[in-house]
Amino acid sequence: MALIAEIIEISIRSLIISSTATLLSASWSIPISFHLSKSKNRLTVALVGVLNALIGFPTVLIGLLLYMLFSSSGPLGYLDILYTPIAIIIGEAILITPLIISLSYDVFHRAYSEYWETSITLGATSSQAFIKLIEETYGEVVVVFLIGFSRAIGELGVALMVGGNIRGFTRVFTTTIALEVAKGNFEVALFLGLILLIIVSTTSAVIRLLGGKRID
Amino acid sequence: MIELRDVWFSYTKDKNVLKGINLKINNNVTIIMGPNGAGKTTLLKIISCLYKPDKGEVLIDGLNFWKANSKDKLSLRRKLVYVHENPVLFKGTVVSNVMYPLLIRGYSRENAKKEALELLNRMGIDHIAFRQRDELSAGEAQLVAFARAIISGAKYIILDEPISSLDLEHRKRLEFNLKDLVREGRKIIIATHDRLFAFKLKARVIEIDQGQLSREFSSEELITELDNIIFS
Ligand SMILES: Nc1ncnc2c1ncn2[C@@H]1O[C@H](COP(=O)(O)OP(=O)(O)OP(=O)(O)O)[C@@H](O)[C@H]1O
Ligand SMILES: [Mg+2]
Repeated sequence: MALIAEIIEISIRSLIISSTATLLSASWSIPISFHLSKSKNRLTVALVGVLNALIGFPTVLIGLLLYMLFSSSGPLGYLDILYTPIAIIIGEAILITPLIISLSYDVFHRAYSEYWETSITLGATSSQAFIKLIEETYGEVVVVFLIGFSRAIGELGVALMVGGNIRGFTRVFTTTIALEVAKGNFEVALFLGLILLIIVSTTSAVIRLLGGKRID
Repeated sequence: MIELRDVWFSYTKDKNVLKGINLKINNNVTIIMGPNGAGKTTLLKIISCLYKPDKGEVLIDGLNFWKANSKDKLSLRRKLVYVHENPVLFKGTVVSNVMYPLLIRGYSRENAKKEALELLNRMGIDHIAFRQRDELSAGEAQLVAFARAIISGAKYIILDEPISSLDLEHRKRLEFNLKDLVREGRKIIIATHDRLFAFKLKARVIEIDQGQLSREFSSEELITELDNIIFS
């Protein structure tokens, strides 16, 4: 019974941490990609190329960099957030930033010349046109969020290195699986893996559903 | 009057698409002709103040658009409306599309809907008022985009290839609509390849080629060219 309770607790924590990380990342990634999609200069094109390359950035490397940043002797050590859920949230948010920017850049870039221009020429203010752009790309932006969320909840490097896998505090799916395997508890690891698989595949089913409806 | 002064524009650094255009537009109907890739769409988007020239000035009724403050910009923009070559309709029904320019100008939904339906009725397309955008033919979509543009009340109506998908019947309707607009004192600027359509609107015709103005004449002069095409 205690085990089940712990698994439920870990599931809820993982979901909360990764969805908060996704929203946090979106809060800067979406405005950035929107501004990039409006600009036509070469620097922008180069920057988008760099961001594309960063999508595959190894998660342990980000984990390591953030560890050095947040550790007590690091430049942000005074924040005292190493080995807290906040550190994982920040780390995952940074991890998925290139992914969210690149994907939403594509969405906005296509929509910009159509919906933005159309609203503006019909007399909309910038904020009215922005609302229209979001209305028109809503489904696709949600898909981008979900892809970011899948990457965040499935990664191990950041959660392990800056979260520390502390029981009842920063333990999430991937860190628990790694730990249980190390302890030889394959059944528990497999069971957790199954839940994670269900979450991720439900997410991608939703993605496909929304993606398919996009031509409406 | 719309005035362009030495306007240059490029999409990429290595190629200028507009090369020093000087142009005053004050006629009731102005037609822009020219081969594919000549820069007609680009010129119309510059005129509509959707694109900012790399160099040069765009004056709308005497005011320099790109030097205006944001409040003036909005009111100048609202004098201009551009209709894309391939009509871009928003999600939702035809009538909700036509209501949009009124809603953003602060009309109540009720009034906006009433006016939109009246306009669709005058244009003879009220039977599609409640269709979704993906339930329209290309020609119907073009007419809806046109309706949505003129309901904005803009003084300058800028149309990019407005008749490319229209059959003869609907072309005639559009011509009537354009003549009505001229009677209301609105100015129309059209890019088209269609010489017959250009001929039938009493217009000043401007030809552009490779980003420069190459020729200017009145639409009556097109008749000799049409003769040549038909009898050659
Ligand atoms: N978004 C873009 N990026 C780069 N080049 C572009 C872009 N849009 C147009 N061009 C180029 O600019 C030139 C002028 O294009 P424009 O669309 O203004 O021509 P047009 O006269 O409207 O042609 P058409 O009769 O085919 O509509 C073309 O050489 C075209 O390839
Ligand atoms: Mg064109």
